[in-house]
Amino acid sequence: MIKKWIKSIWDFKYLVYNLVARDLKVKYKGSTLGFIWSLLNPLLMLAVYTVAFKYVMKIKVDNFPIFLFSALLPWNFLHSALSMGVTSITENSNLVKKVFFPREVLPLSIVLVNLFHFLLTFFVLVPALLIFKMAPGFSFFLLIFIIFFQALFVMGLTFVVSAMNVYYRDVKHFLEVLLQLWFWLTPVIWPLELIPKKFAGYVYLNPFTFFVDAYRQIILHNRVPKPFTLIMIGLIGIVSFLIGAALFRRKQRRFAEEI
Amino acid sequence: MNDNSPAVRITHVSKKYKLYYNRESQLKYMVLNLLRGKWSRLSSEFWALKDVSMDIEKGKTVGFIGRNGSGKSTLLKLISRILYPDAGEIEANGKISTLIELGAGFHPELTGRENVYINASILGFSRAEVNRKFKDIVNFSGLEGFIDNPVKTYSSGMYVRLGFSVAINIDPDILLVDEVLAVGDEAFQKKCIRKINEMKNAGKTIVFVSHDLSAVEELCDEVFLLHNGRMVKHGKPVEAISAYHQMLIGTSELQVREELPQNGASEGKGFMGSRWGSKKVEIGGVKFLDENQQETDVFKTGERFRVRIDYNAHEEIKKPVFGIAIYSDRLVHITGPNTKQQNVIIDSIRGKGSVEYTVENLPLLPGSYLFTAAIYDFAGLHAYDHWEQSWKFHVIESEKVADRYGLIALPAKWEYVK
Repeated sequence: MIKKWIKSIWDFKYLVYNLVARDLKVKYKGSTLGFIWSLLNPLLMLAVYTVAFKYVMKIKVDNFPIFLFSALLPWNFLHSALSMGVTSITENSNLVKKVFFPREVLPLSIVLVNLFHFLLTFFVLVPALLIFKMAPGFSFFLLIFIIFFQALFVMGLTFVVSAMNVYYRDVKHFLEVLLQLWFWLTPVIWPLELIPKKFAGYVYLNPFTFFVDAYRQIILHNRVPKPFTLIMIGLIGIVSFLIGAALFRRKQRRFAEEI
Repeated sequence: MNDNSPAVRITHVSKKYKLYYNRESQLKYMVLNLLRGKWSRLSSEFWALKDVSMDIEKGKTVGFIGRNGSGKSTLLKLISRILYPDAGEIEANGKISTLIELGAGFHPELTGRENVYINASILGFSRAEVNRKFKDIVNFSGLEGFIDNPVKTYSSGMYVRLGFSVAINIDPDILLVDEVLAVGDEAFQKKCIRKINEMKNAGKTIVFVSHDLSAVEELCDEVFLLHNGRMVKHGKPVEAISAYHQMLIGTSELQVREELPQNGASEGKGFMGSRWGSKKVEIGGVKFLDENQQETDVFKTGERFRVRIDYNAHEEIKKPVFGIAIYSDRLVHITGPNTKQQNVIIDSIRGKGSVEYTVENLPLLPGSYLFTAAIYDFAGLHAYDHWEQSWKFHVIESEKVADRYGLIALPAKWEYVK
């Protein structure tokens, strides 16, 4: 069954390619700096956060810019994929009502667009590492593994929110608030060590903590993350993807009439 | 696949729509109900199709006919897999292409060329297939000179032509067509009919939903008549069409109201037309009224025909002009009067109100007609709200008028003058 499902989407790979390419093209059409914005955006964000946290609130963390970058970029991928993906079906009601194609294609292409932007930001990250004299080490190859499972994780969540938003339009607004909350509950701009030992375990109830932890270990400390962290990342990615896909599969049967 | 198996086999298919009263308050209602310990959503049900079975043979051109809400479009959407049946099974052997929405997914900022590729990929075609067909598509549309301009610069006619060219020039085994022959100018329509005939000769299976009975008769080998979600007649086009005419007469005299979904559902009242305008005044609804002021969409030749157009002016509008137009189902523009031409000058409107247009002895001959309603400024330059060909009504035979041919019965008499 899974094989058949994957094939039905694979048959439409050219549509996925087109939707991704269209999003990228439309996004930069008419702006002078074009693609550079994808790189400029995280740089500016980094500057703002660095000023706010290092110089205004005086959080004491070594290498703050890299500390922040290593978690903020993956978070941005999750955040933008979800907040764009939630309306991926409802915004295309015209298509969904009138043409048959595997509906998975819509959230999938949004996740891929954002994955692409995420990967682009490594063109900022790597030079930044060099500037701070932290040459990326061998553990960098592990990033491929982590990014892959984060993409699965994000895809699963995007499946869920995009499908639910067809039935309940409040999901979109609810998600905005939830993402805010989630951001502050995740050690993105604050270090894990800030949490008292007693409560440290609770932080790991948040699945994204594992990802942040792994990214930091690799990018900031040039260390291989703990095997447990890696296993959890794999599990979280796969489980989220499977649950999301199954739910989407079931819910999509009535998309054309509910939308 | 077995060569004798039908192109489409439909077995005991039923389809139910849920009608929601108010989309926005869904969650609120559900939460309140959950608090009361009930699990329910604010909706009612409507069976669009009930236990329909049919085989569509390979290489045949078949038509679905029936009134609005009879379930014919739902059936087409089920075959194309846009909708899923609630009961029964649908089996299709071969690649399906649907001509339902033309230019669905066109992006205004992108060029015609880019949009052709995207549109074809939505229909499930690969880059290589589109590359191969690209020239045919552009030639067919007649838009060679514009193909590298953004489609936002296209007129609505060009837009539709390009969409149609994409959908019809890719090479499906089964082609589903819903009402789209009513596009473009006459020359383009002829081109489309020719193309469909070509596909028919090439042994493709074509399923055709239309109100245009003459086109159905011309193109189809077999016709299925649907009524209130059931298949009531299957046979030669002539037989099914005459059964349909019988049915229209029957229902109009018994004053049977159809179970038409009132809110939402897939076929709203603006079922095929387009709408534009600034919407400073909006047309809230158009009602066709018979001699007893009852709402109907079936009239007899020679009867009184009245249309009430409800409007809602969101601000004060000085000297609005109300207009209507009537088209035949072949899109011949029959009439297009407005209030200004008849010297009915309305000083200003604000809020809700209505205008009525009455024809004492309707001269239209039996057939289906499309209706346009619009509100313009006094100069006729600015559209407040224009609903192009958005409503439909039918005219059936009457005892009073014996004329048979053409579109209208002129108030005339014959005399023998030796």
